[in-house]
Amino acid sequence: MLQYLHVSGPRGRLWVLNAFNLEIKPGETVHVTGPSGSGKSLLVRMALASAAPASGTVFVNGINPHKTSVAGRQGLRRVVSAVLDDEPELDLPAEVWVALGLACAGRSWPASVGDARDALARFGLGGVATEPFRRLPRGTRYALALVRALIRKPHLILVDWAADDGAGIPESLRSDFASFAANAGAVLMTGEPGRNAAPPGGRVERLAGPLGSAGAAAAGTGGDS
Amino acid sequence: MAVPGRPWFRYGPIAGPRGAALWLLWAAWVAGGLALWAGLSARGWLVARRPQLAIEAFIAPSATAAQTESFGQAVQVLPWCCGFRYVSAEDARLEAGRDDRVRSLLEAYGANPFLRSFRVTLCPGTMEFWHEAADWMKRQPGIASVRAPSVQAPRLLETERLVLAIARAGAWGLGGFALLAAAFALGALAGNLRRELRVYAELGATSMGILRRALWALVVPSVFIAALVVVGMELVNVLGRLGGVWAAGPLQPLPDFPHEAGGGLLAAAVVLPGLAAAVAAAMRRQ
Repeated sequence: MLQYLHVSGPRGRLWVLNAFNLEIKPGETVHVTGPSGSGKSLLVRMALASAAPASGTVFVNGINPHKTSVAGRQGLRRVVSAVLDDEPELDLPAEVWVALGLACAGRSWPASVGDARDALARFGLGGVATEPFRRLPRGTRYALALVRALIRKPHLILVDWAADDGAGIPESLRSDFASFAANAGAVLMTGEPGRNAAPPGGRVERLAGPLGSAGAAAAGTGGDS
Repeated sequence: MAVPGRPWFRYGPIAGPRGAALWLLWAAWVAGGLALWAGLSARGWLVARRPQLAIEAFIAPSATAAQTESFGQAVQVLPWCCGFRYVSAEDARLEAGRDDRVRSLLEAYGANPFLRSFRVTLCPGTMEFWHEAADWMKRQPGIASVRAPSVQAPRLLETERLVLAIARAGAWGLGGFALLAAAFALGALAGNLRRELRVYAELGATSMGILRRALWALVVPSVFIAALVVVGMELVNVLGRLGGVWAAGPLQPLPDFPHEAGGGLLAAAVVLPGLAAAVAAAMRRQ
């Protein structure tokens, strides 16, 4: 489902992820942990093809998102849902913000809004449906991001959200997330297990810190996994 | 204010502040419309407001009937001639006699001292050629002398030149402001749009979907606002004519909003968003 093969890359002026290997199979949850700047977010961005590895290969559903066509990359992004901490905040009501996830995946706009509304009601978030997304508390925004990720019915969910205790996550949403992780798809989460409403269980991958400057480390050796 | 359920129909990118940019866009197109209005119609408006000036060609007492006839036929077809009247010596005396001070002199003189004349009204659009017109008349056989508006015409034309220079300077200034303001507003919208489109791309939107959104966000508001400005200014034309609002009031009638101005404004509303998007893309690469 998601595979990193000998992946290395620069993060700014630092070298991280030296020949990193990881494979996540359907029904698996992997928590990637490590100090700040160790490349956790970079792993997520590589899977979304918004950052390219300096060396090594990433496969999503058996396809290298960095080598495939634009249409192929767009197709991959429709089956991968990302919960990103640094996503630009759009000035939209919460239900419209959630509906964008479905509309961009090819669903008609009225159906997207209807499904988003239903999903929010089901997870007990109907009260914030018409509130502007950017003005909601951080915990609620995270819950909405999880809803948006889940209703797309993806194969893989990538979660890169700075440590949060997940207190604002409704129990029904937590349970749906766990059910998705156990049965339907795969989950890659950055951060320690137990944070961010993570599904129970799962493997932990620890990353080392930055390995020095990009130029010097490129010639050196090291391993993460 | 968000419009739930209809994000594609919003008039601006939904990432980042957009209200100020859209207001600036309004101001830019209104200023652009006024600039084009002033720049394109100022001269025509001034020409339409010119007073009627006439050149009087006095017929020599020795002129033959054929010479008089020939002059009358020749002058009527000249481009600067918009009106033509034969004034007999008796008519001239009657006209002069309307002034009380002249009347007593004429009565004391006895005989009619006036010559017959042709009174040629100059076309407003060709008034600049009054001197050439007077010269031409002087050279015609059977014409004794010519009385030209040698004081009024230069004064009028000089005043017009000054007003036109001021109007054109104002139009250039306003047009420059409009162009800069539109470019700035569209650049700000393009910058916001880039962030918005990033979200769409990460959510797997197709290239066509992204292009459609970009067109909605940049071209549509720009063209929509410019079209409203054009319609508004054309309405001023129509209402001004129908109601005679300005003609009846203390102000002079306004010049018509020229159709070239409407076309230019709409063309700019289509072209400028593309330029703004290109500049925003180039700035991103730096």
